[in-house]
Amino acid sequence: MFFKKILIAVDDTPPSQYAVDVGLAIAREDGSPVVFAVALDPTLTVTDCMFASIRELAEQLASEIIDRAMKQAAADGVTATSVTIFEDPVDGIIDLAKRERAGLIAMGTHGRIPIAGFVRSVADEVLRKTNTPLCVIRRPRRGKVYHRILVPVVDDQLSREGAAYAVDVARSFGSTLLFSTIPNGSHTLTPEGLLNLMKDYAGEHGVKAEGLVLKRQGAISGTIAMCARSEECDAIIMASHARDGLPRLIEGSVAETTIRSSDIPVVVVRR
Amino acid sequence: MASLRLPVLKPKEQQFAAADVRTVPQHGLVRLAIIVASVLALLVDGTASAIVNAGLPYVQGITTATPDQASWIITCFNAPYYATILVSPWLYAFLGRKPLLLIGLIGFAFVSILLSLTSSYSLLLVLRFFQGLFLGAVYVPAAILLFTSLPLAALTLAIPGFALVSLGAATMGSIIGGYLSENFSGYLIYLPGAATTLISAALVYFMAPNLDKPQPHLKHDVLGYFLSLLSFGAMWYLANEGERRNWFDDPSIYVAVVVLLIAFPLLLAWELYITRYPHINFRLFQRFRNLAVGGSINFFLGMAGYSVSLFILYLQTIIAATETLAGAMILLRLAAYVVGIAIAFLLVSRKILGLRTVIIIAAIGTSISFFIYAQTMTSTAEAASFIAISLVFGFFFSMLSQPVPSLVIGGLPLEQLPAGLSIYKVTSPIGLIVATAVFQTLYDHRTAIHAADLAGFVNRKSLEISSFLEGGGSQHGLSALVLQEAQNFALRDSMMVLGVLILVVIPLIFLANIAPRPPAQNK
Repeated sequence: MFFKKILIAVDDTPPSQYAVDVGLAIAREDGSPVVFAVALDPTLTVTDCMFASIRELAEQLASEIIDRAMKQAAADGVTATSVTIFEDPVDGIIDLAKRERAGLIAMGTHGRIPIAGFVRSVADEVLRKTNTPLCVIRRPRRGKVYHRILVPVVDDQLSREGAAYAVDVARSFGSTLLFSTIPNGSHTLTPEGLLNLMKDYAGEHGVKAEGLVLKRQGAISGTIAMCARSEECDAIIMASHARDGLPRLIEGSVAETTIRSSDIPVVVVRR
Repeated sequence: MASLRLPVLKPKEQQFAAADVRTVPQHGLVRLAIIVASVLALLVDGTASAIVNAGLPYVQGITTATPDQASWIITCFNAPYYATILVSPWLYAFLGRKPLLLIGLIGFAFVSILLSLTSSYSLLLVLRFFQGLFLGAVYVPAAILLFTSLPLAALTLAIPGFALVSLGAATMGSIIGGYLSENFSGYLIYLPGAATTLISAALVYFMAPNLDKPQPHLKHDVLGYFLSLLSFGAMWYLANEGERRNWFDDPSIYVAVVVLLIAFPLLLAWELYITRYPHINFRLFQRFRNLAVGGSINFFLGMAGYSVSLFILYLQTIIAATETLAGAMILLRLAAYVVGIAIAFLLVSRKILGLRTVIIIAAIGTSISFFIYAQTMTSTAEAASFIAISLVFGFFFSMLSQPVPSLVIGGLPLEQLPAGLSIYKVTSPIGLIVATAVFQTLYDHRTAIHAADLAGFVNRKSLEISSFLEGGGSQHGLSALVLQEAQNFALRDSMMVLGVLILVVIPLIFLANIAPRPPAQNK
């Protein structure tokens, strides 16, 4: 049991159903229990005189969503519990993951670019704040998860930590790792040297690994997503600085853009 | 001889229809289609009555109805419309939301098409009766369908969104009716509603799930329905005809008053104490104090809504604005509604201000706006001078209107939502009925008083009058000008009275129970 417990954030959107599918598939293979969490708008609890009926409606909807997920978990033979929280979804999910000591948060995303005050991406916000590994799913699951995992790396400490996490996952799930890098000339190791280092590390831990130097085509995230598709990978594991505020504006976030362009689950780990 | 003794039942001996307000998650286009269908249904419901009111002179022309007959065209619609709205929670439980909504929409569309083809006055009245009857069945299931189809993330916005649709529809109706009848034909005023309801019905039929189990065993309350029909009929007749017939100078007014005085108390007694199976749950007012407070506030908002009629009357009779321009001025209010509703909601939901504070600020703002309106309404004003005040009024009035549905329906348990919706829908028009009767009378009286005052100044010794007559002006023209000025003063007086009246909501809101909820326990 690698993850100990998986927290699956659910709501009434299609990507949430994809998250349930992927989360349960991982849980079944890992043997870990899952906890389904629905976050309801805390505004509904401001005062009974304004929102009692609407809160009841929201609870009814939450209960329908959870019932459906619990039935699916039972059919998959996965032990599941559920929680309904009246909190902002970002803080609520992060706090719950801590409380439940979850080893992984699985959640769906529409992949929309957030616009301050208008369009919100809960997945992006959770990614920036949580220390729990986050598995974000944008498209329906196809086949297995964690059978062949793409691990994009660069020559820095963060990537090494991400690679180490990927090796741990692969050892647990019997997966093959595909390390890939895009040459940018700013690091001491050559791309081939970096990939060999990663493969050796994986080999030392009994994990089968391959290496692939990618030629950048447009955005880095697009290149990673394209590689995942052409190499028939079923998950991407990558590390993120989880930058926020000004640094994020200047440097951007490859993890966030990869989530938005990938058709397969993206697992993001941060330091 | 055995005496007639009515059984007086205790509340627990009565059986109310319990509505099943269930929801299941919907996705993507299906959900969008259901939301569009329910919003369209609500828009038709909010505009249908006002469209025909605005086009009434044209309908009267088509059917060659006399002015004495014209108000029956309105009364024949409104009486079954409001009576059916009050019964619709029972119908909802009896049939389920989807069948009820489909019957209402298709029936309304069919009758509307027939109405657009008829030029017979008596047939028109029959069709108008059925049009009201069918449309009355639409509001409650459409609103419930809307609430139960929203995504989880948007549920918090359900009531503000609903407030916007309701307020917007009520405002748009007279503009649409005026525009259609002025630019096209009186026959056409029924067709936009018919087309919209058919689209809505098709979407509901193909997309909406049939979630509710019908309860065909529920007992009917025909007498209750008949009494509410009589009550609303008498109310509307008095509102439309009272002042026109100089109140008690006309025997028909006596008849209407007697009908109202008998039917309405009898309705209350019947539904509260006599029948075992009431259609209308008046006891909700007792059980939920906020429903009573919110309903009362909604009554005064309905009265304030009469300002639309007053302002249109001013624009058209005093400064001779076209119906299209008058419509544009009212549309300005609509633009401000969006901002006012959003701000009121954010202030309360983010706990920046309390519900009471928002309502008090909005009531004072609305009251001041009425006074500014009154000051700006001069016989020489340009329509453009009302742009700013229309926006300010729209902002405060919508701020005042937004928390009301929350207060009336938000605080109810889910099973009482249909009943709460029907009460919310009916309280505002009752305010409008009272305002119509009161302000028409007030307007006529104040016009007479101002005309008498002004006449005292009109004599040949006055330099302005003599130069007017020497400049080719006729005495007839002079008297028309005097009358117009008197009407203008009367309209300004009416606006100021509305400005004072709206302040009544301030003491009312202190009667509401708006204690904050204890912190939620996660489950």
